[in-house]
Amino acid sequence: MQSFWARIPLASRLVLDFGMLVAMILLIDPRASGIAVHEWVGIVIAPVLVFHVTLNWPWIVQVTRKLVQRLPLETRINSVLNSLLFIVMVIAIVSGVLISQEALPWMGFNVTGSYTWRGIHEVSSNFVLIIIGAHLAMHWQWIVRTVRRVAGMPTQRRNVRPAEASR
Amino acid sequence: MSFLNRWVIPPIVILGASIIVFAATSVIATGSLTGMGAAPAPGATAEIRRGDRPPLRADGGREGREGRRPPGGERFDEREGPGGALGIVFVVAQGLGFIGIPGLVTYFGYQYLRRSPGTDADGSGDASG
Repeated sequence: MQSFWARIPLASRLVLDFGMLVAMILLIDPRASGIAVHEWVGIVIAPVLVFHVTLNWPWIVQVTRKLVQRLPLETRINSVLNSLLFIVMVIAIVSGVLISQEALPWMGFNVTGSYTWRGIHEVSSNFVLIIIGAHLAMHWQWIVRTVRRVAGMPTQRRNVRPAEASR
Repeated sequence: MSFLNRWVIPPIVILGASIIVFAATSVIATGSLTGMGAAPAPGATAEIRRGDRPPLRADGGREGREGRRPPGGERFDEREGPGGALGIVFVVAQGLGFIGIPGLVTYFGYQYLRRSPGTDADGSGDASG
């Protein structure tokens, strides 16, 4: 069982991550997508986020264990960015739920929708987008490699610097 | 790594961390653990503070301050953006701007850092692949 779960195909991961990106773009402007779509996509993205983090759990455990040790710059930047992204995404999702106008009332929950949570939602959402941009950039090499692997294209050697390549 | 450690404990830890993040934000922002610090107590006068959502009426609309809002109820964020194809273009353009620009800045910033002498960046830290 473990070997099956440990080998969730790369293509599935890529589709999941791409779906999250599309959802985030859809969430940017509730006036363009409609408030109902905005809220439901925001609610659906919460369990997807938990799944995404769970998929990458071994990396989190590995980095956390070595936190006090000397880590490569890329790993350190990634760990800070990922932690920040998780925190602001949780804030954005929960504050979004607390100011819900369609989804929560439809489910029979009456939420406060206070001005405070509206402000928190706006600020945290903007931060989420900025950090997602940085998160994507830091994983760009992985994205390119995975797309090539999934598409059956030959993968390039990683981190070959011009000086090394000319040797 | 067992099934429990791989697929059961992580979501529990993630949800626990989420609750802590929410509680901390809530205490800082509203002074209440549940996030309801700004809500009036049951039975209190229905005073609406600036920015609070007015109460829901029986017809689904929202009552504005002193009941001056039109029947049907004006809601927050009633302003509509461009619909149809233009709306999609609008959203994609915003997406490129909000996500793409920080992405480009990070990508080239990191490439610059990597090439700077004295950094220990060997790029071997990405275990997500």
